[in-house]
Amino acid sequence: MRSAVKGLAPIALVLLLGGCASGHVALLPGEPGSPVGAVAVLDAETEAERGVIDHENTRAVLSGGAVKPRPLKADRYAALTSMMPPPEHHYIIYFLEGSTTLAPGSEEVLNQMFKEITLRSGAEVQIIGHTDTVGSEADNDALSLKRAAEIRDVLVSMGRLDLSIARSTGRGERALLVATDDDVAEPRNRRVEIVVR
Amino acid sequence: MIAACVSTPGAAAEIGRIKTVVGPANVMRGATALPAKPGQTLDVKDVLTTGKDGRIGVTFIDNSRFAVGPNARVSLAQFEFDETTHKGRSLTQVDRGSLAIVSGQIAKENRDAMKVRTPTSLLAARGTRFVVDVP
Repeated sequence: MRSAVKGLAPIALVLLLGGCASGHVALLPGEPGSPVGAVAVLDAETEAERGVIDHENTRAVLSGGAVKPRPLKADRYAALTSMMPPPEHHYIIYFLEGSTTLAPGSEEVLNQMFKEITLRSGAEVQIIGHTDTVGSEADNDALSLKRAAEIRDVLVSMGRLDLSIARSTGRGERALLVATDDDVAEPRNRRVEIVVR
Repeated sequence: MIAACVSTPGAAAEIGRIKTVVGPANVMRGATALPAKPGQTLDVKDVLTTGKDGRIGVTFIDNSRFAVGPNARVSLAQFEFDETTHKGRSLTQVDRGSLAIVSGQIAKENRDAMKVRTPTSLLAARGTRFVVDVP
């Protein structure tokens, strides 16, 4: 009995290695509004590019050999991707200059944002301040962060937002809504963006 | 300088949150197994594990997203993201199971900065939706 088990062990080992336990990578279609994109297979040591798959519904075995794209059976990963959380939503709100009073029209946007929070499992929000291009980049980074924190605190103190699900961030003048030259006052760029995830 | 301290006080280490859980699923933090539940915050080096029929949906602070399949072990080995500049990089290790990924700002704004390692390979996301499947 004992020797029979010993005799089997090498065979089991061969099957394991020969079973190609290396897995694969599959590129799916982009979500609506998003391009397909690509995945690069890199050398695990040097990180040199060994191949790329860039057509939707193709896959490549991750064996260490050549990267050969093959067709992927449609819906192979439907059960898995059904667990993917939905894309984040972005809301843009404006305030009367230098105040925390909502500008006309922004109350409705804010209400939509709060409704979205209730629709999402494990919802969280990121409050992002943006400035126009007046002033230095460093000053605008600081200003936008201060603004975002201020708005977060106002929403929390109104009892409409739980602090434990709210982050604040400043992006300064790095993500202009309306492209302008430097040092241009542009009210549409002085905004607060709220991302609901 | 601002960039180093942009995150919410008290949540400095947060890199993402669990959104949905089905079946048996844990977050391993060091030697501690935390039952996965919606709203749970995730830190770098956390390991997501699922049992038979277990699944987890996750979002990250760069707006990337994961769906973790059954019998999986997925380690959030590295995650750096500057929320001011959007510079960053991440490395996710898939030891076993299937992981669906929708890439986010890290991959969009830093070439080949969102990486996934499997026992036999290294991958770089160039957007947007893909699956890594390790038996």
